[in-house]
Amino acid sequence: MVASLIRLKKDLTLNSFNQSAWHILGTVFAGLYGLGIVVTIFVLQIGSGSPAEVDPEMVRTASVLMGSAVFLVWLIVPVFISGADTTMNPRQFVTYGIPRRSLVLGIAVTGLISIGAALTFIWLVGQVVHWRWDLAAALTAALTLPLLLISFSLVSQAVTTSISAWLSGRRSRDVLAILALSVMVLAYPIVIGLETAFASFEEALPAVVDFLALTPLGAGAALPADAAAGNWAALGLRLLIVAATLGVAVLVIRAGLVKITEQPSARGSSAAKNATGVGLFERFPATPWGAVAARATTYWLKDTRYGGTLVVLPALVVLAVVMYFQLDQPWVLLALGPFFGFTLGYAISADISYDNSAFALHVTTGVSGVADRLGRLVGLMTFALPATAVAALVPALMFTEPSVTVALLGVSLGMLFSAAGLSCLISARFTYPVPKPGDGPLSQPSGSTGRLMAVQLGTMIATLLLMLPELALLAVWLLGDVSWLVWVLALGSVLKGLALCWAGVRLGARVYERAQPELFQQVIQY
Amino acid sequence: MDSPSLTTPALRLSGLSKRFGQTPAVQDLHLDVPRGSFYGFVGPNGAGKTTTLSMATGLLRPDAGIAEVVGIDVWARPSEAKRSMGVLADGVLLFNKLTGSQLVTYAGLLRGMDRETVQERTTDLLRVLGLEESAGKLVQDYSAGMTKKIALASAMVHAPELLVLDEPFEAVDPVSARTIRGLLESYVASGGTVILSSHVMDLVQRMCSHVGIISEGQLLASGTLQEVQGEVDLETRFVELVGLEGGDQELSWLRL
Repeated sequence: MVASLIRLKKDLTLNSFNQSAWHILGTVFAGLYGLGIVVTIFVLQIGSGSPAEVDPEMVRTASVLMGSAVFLVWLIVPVFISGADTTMNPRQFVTYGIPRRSLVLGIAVTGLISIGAALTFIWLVGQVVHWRWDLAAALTAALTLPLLLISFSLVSQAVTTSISAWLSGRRSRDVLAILALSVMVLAYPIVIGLETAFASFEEALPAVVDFLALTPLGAGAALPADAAAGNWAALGLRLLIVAATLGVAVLVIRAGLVKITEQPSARGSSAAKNATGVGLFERFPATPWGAVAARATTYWLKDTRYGGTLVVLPALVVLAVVMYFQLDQPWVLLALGPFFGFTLGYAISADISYDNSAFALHVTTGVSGVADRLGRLVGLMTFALPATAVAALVPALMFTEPSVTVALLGVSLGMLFSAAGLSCLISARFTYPVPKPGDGPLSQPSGSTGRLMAVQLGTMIATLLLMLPELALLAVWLLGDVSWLVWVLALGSVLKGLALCWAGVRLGARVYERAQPELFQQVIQY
Repeated sequence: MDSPSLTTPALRLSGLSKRFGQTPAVQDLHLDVPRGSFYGFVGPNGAGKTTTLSMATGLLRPDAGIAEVVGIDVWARPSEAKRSMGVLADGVLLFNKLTGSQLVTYAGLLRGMDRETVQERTTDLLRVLGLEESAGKLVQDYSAGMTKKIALASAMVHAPELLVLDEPFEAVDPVSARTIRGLLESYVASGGTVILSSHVMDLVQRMCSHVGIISEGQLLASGTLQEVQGEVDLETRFVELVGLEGGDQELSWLRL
């Protein structure tokens, strides 16, 4: 049975490569990226473990920190990719009546067939090399290698299974993913907080490492250090911690599988509110473009995939404020305006991909290209315009003189308009995969990661090129100290942005009308 | 009945062809759907029904051939042709974060109708389809039958001359099916034209005035129901044309 599950995983993985060249390319890129990081670490491990100049305390610190980081990655990754896409979701096996023991074992083992597991394996081998200056430590590292690999896989599977078993509701998964993302963004302020608590980072480190080494996060990675120090009692204690972690993971997986396979619950619908009237459709003009704008705005409010892309904005505000207090440099706050402008303008670059096959309604009703493009642009502007203005104005009023405020506001809005204008063309011409309707904002879009990266990179470069005039004017203004240039900069940026919006709507509409069926056939595959 | 505009078929497909890679999906398909007819388009799974209807409604560009709605070429003058046609596509999502009444309103406004008319017709459609209670619920919380009904309402809100419905009865409970059927029959009685695809022969035989049978991308028979089914019933005729699969072999181990 376990062998069958492994074969299944192998077939699923290989078949996914048959889908498209973009998928292979994306996987290769992701793999190379991970490999690059791991090889760099491997080289560091070789250097730092060199018997000639070894610093035992340093090796221990590095091991525990790396081990904790690897553990965290295994723990957090399933939260993001636990969409419908996971190939070995236990939910798929409900109807087969597989013995529970085989299923637990099979799922744990198949978790090891992945790029992540291969990279982790390289790191673990690096650990053996890292401890090669002490025989007992190196032996411990080598002997516990399979144990650690399996515990990573099991813990990861425990997270996946629990999410599938107890948090299968759309909303709870979105909340979880957003929570995890926020924690990652807030890691910087947390480190800063630790630093202030301990006067300096170097002073705090030993305490942090000792603490981590006693938690499941770092216990496994700290084992060779105990062996090197001959502290067998500590080694025993840490082995117990690792074993307990494994035991808990297995128990969680078992309980989760029991919940999934033996008490399957119907997909409950959210408590349905019965709204009266047609909501935002009453607020926008009763024209095709007005209807598109009303629908787009409704989706910005209701579809977590839309809002999810903007979750980074409030997090950035927090980050900028913390950095400001840390560095005492107002520019981190002043940069928020242009950044908001770009992020919000870029936010509609996948709007047709987000529609997925619902886009059929636009095709069959024969809505004109201009109405489609303009409606989505207006829908975005209803909230992006005030948000960008506030993000630009608040810091500017606090820190700078009126002329800079004018320039900043102008450039921020110009950025918003330019990026949005570009997006109007991009979303009709260069679609890229996004999470499917009904999935969470951070779930993996299926396939074609390569195309996604190519389009995003292209957009970045195009935006940069489009902003060149502003950069040139800014340079002249700062260097030449010509005060009237502020007005040229501010007005010019806004007018250029509006012109780009006009051009984006026109060109986007032309593409839309010429290639509507092709566009539809493309987005239904995402 | 002699004026040319009334003798133009509501839908005329001539020489429609489409290949996907090396596989021909639809080959040189000719089909006339007369005005005022209730046309059943039947065929086994994968026969090319959805491909054909997608090409007729502007969702899929044909490799060759012409599709005309009330005499207007769908691919040469798409916006005019689409005005006369209401479409229920199979296997596509709806904008399901909208409420039922929002969705129908959206479809109406996209067609350029004024607010009062849209509002009036939305209320009427929801009432006739028995969706009044759920008008304010999100479409994602609808059952399969309710989803088909709200999609049908979106396709009809502009009172088109032709309705193209791909699998309107799939996964629909008998009560909803009867409601949909009643609405379609009164629409045809008042002069509208319907073409619907299905693989439920029984239903087509009871409802439709005309039938076309498609298999492996080719039209095997078409005409009035009587012409196509001849002396036998539609299902027998269908199996005769399309052929049985697996012959009459039995599974020797499946005898309990």
